[in-house]
Amino acid sequence: MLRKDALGQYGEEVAARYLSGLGMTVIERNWRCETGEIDIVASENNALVVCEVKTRSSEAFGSPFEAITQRKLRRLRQLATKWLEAHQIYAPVVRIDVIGIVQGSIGSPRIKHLRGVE
Amino acid sequence: MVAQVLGVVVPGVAGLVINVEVEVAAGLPSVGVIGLADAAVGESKWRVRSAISNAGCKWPAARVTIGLSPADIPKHGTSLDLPIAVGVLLATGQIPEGAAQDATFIGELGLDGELRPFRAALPAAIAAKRCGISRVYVAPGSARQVAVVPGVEVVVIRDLGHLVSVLRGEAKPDAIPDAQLVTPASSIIDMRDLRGHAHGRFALEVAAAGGHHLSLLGPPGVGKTMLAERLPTILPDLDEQTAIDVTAIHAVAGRLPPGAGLVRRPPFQAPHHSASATALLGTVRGHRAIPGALTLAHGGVLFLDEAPEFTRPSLEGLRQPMESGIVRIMRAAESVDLPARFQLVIAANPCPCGHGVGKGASCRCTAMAKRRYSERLSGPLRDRIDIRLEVLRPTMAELAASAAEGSAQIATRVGLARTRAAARFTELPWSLNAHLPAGELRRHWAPDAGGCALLTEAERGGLSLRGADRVVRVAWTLADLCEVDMPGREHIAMALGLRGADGGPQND
Repeated sequence: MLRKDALGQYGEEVAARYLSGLGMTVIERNWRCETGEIDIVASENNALVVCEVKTRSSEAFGSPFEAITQRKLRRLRQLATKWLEAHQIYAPVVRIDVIGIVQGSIGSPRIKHLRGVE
Repeated sequence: MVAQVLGVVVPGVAGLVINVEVEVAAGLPSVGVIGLADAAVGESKWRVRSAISNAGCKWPAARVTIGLSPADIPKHGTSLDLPIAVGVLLATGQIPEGAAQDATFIGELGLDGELRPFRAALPAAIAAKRCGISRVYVAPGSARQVAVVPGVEVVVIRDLGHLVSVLRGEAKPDAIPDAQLVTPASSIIDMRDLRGHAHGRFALEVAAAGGHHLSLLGPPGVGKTMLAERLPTILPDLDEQTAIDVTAIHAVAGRLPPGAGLVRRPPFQAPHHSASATALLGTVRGHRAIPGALTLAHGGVLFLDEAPEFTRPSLEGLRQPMESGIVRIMRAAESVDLPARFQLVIAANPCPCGHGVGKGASCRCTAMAKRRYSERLSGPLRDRIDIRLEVLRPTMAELAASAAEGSAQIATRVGLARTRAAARFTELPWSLNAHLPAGELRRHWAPDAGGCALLTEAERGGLSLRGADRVVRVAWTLADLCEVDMPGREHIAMALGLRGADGGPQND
């Protein structure tokens, strides 16, 4: 497995645990359809949370958040709708969160969490 | 956190202070500029971002919103780079709070953080001063211009890293660099080059002393252009206020090299006769005033060579500015006033073939062609010209004469005459005889009895009332040059001679 994929999978694991720690319920991970993939689907109170995880080994080339472009956000919104359709679920609030993780070569990962990005 | 920093944009020849607000909020990293920014201002975010990173500071990984207020006025240019950068640094706590208070920041940033001069720094600093801001941070190339504004503290900054150190109190600003010496074209040409033309030299001296508009009429190749080009060389230096205005205008038009100081010599503008009315009068493009030749000639000389070849709208456009000293550009949505107090010199041939002077023996033009040619300069325009000179070919004897008087000597006499006039007009809003309003002239500034008698005779002979006023103005200038306190009969007679035939360029 490629190194960057391993880092990504590790980051998603860290993120899932982090969200559970916040009291959210992780509903599904790595849900795929023809449009793309949702890293984590979770719920918090009455809100459905579609969560994108970005993991980097250093911030030398900018913060992980800088990888989230407007185009990517638009696709995440489409994916959220697709997921709701596929599961026949109605959620009063749908939210997109982004989790940025920086894991250096030593030490514990640094986690940043942005709620409800637009 | 929201940071507020003051910047300046220059939409016309005057600056406008802009409140730059920078908000750094949680969110995906992004940067947006709001407040009617044009392409150059919009691109500012990319320059600022690179400059901050390369200056050893940190661009926030957050949502940055940059607001430019007043938000309903379009902003253009690159002068807002620096205030935006300072705003971001303030909002992220990288420079101490309050460091940017009571100051304005003017300049464009390079990607490497270098601060570059802003061409219209002078009007920008004047606008800031008028708003009560007396500390101005600028690039070394703009420093000399800003330093001429009275009561302004200039802080010279090399690059963004330097600015951060200065605002943190860790470094000192640079010293104001010396002005780059620019040899004005006027120092190369001199009245000494002009052989013969005794009458022309005298008329030029009178025009310079009183600020009178002048027309030169003569066949091709006799020296009309030579005469006109030498008028600025005998004009005195600009006074402080006019020098600031002229520098501001030329800076806005991009005519000044970076690092130039105050323009002290009267400008000389000689637009080609194919110039459009817009090129002469200036225009407004996207809420931004662009000065034309009339405004660029403010404080100096506007020379129209081959005047009848100019288009009618161009020539008629001169009339109102010649009276008011202002070009008013009107568009449906707005009107802009640009200063245009210039001295007009027009040169023309007497007829299409150019030889219809004196007896006109070699002229081959028909009477009709001559008339049509002369009609291109309308009566109202000709009427505004005080001195009408017929330039004739100098004789061999005149050309062989010893060297003529130089510009410096004539300029001294012109200066003395102008001082006399200015002393007479203390506490009045004008200082030159040519600018004396007609009503004032008739009430307070009549010539002595002998002069009045001659004037009455001339009026009986067909001199119009406005024409008589112009004769009296020129007579005052002649009196100033002769160092007498009031124009008499001989001055009126001389002024009538300088006015020439009332028919204008046509020699009839």
